[in-house]
Amino acid sequence: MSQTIVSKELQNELESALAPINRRRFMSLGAHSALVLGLGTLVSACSRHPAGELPAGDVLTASQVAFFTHFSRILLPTDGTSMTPLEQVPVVANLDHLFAMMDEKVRSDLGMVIDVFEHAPLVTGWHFSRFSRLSPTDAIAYIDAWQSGHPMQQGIVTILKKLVYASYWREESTWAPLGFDGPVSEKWGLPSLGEAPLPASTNLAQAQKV
Amino acid sequence: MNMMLNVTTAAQVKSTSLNLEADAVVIGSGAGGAVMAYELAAAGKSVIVLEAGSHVPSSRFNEKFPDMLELLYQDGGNQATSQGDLLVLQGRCLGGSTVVNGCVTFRVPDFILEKWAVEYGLTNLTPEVLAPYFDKIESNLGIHTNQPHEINENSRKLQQGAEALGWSVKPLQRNIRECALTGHCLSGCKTDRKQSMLVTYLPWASHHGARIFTDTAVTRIVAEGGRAKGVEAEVRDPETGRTVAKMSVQAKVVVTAAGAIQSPLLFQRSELGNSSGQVGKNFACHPSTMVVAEFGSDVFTWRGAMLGVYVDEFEHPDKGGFVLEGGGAGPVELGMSTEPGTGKAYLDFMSRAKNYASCVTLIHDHNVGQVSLVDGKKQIDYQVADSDFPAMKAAFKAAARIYFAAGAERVFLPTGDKRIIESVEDIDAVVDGIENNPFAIRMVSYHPQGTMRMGADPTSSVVNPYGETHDVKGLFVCDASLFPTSIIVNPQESVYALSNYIADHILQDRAGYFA
Repeated sequence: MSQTIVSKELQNELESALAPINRRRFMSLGAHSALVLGLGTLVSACSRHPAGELPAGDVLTASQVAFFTHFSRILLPTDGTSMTPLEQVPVVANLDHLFAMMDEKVRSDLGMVIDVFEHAPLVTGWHFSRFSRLSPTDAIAYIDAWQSGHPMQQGIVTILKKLVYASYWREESTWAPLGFDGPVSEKWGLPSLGEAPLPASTNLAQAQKV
Repeated sequence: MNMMLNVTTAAQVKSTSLNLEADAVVIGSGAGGAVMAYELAAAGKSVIVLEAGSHVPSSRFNEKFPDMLELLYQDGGNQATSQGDLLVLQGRCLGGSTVVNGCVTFRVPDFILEKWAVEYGLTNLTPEVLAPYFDKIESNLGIHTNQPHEINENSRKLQQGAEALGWSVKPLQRNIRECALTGHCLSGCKTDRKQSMLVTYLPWASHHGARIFTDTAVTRIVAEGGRAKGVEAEVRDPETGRTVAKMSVQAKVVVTAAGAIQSPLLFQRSELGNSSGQVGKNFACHPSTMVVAEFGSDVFTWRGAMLGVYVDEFEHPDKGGFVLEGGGAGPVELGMSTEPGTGKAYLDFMSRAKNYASCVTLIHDHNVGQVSLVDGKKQIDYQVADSDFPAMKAAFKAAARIYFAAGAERVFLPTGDKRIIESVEDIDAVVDGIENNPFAIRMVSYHPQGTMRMGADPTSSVVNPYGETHDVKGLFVCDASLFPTSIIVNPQESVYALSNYIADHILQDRAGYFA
């Protein structure tokens, strides 16, 4: 499992980067995250992404596609379960669509959040590894550490999880294992009632002084 | 099926410049705007309704929640606070939030009206004065108490538990006719049983001659010499966002009903009505959460009427200031409602989806947030007040006690971290550990309120007790931004009634605006 391999000062810097000040804007990681991103860039420059070369989406970058591909596999290990196999569900394509719907600033902020999450293990004692190189066991432990960690870590990992979960469960093919019925009105042959008839005229202003 | 509704969409606008005149221009077509438009038009006034969203006929509602979030909701369902831990869900379509709400209706509680009278000088808004307005709305919209067939197994769990504890629990009231029990309210009612503005007041207003424009965003309210004169707007292609026409409307009366987020932003962009400094301030939102309980038998929380009963034992602020509503959820909502663990633990949680009951908590939050323009863009700032957090935790405890009394095996809390209650003895320990930090609670708001508050004192409120702005004559507000405090319960019926009340005041025309 994890061991600290960087100095206490460096860890403190990261802790500072992720430390929320109550009521401060969530996404405003600002200058602190430059440390993590800088280190991440250095490592990225020296190594290919562990998920291999993947094409970029319409708005997701190639590295974001690679991140979400790996992240989804960790979050939704459907092999051996009754759930619809992950590879049959276009999770990353749905994420790309979700990101396309977002305001550009939000999309940019989320991009930074992904970079922080991906590269933070480098300096927080996870075998000097980025997230996508962690073993599945370590990846889950890393995620759970964030989930129970500082509120800012909790916020980041919760948002990233929600994006993936929403992109999986929105697909109709995932509903049968849950027993979810999905759309029913057409299946049940329900007629539309259309517009309601005009109401009886009531002038309350005449009935009482307002 | 549309017989009366007549709408002009961006696709139908052929000129690049539109100059219109009317007695009244109404900004927004939701609960406040639709009622206002109908009442004025039925009284013989010429009315123009401008809706920024699109006209989406119910035939396009596909009962898939994620798709409908993108089609019918503000910002595609992504409207969030600046901190990022609270989604503010509002309809952005013809009919506004009335199209996508859960049909639940309440009259504003009497103790709230008493508070408004004492603290904000709203002595005119007594239960007696408002009662005929509520009666009328309830009649017009088919509002009725849920019948036994409209209370599904999900709500029965809440009911059974509350009754076992001796706590007050009641069937909800809803504005729906011949509910087909699909459970898809939040995706819009595909078969027009929900009595939203889309199938009621808007067609009725249209019948009386109101002209309704969709895809039309008001950019500025025009005022001269302290008197509202009209609005400037842009008709935009809903697909590209490109402006296809500039619109100018001259009107004797301007009514803002764009909701508690957009109304203050419009005032701020127009740089008017803010001598009190209260425009955009005092934002409250009933931060709501979903508590999920696991049972040994099938519940199918998503089947049947979406909202059946509510626990009002703690409604009064002296008793807690919260309500619990038996509300169903589909896989997407369930899948994001709690933190059951990662990987296999999460899939294990979801594999028992049909065994879960769910309820929604609503608290009487204080007006601590604000809506503002920052660099020309919308910013919503809100964090649950420390003084409100005990109510949030009390709601979790009450929900957990109810579910265990109904036989639940465990209860999942809507927290950022993993908090599962395995027995009634563990409730206090698990809940008490929650701290009021960002992301500590998974919250959604369906009820933004308070940003243009009503009051008798012009130095501390934006509009007077009759909905007219203190600063600009002939400029009215008739949406939930009026509420000087949050009202604990679902606000749509109170907005309808207040809008009708304000419309009657406008029609009395004591200031001679229509002369």
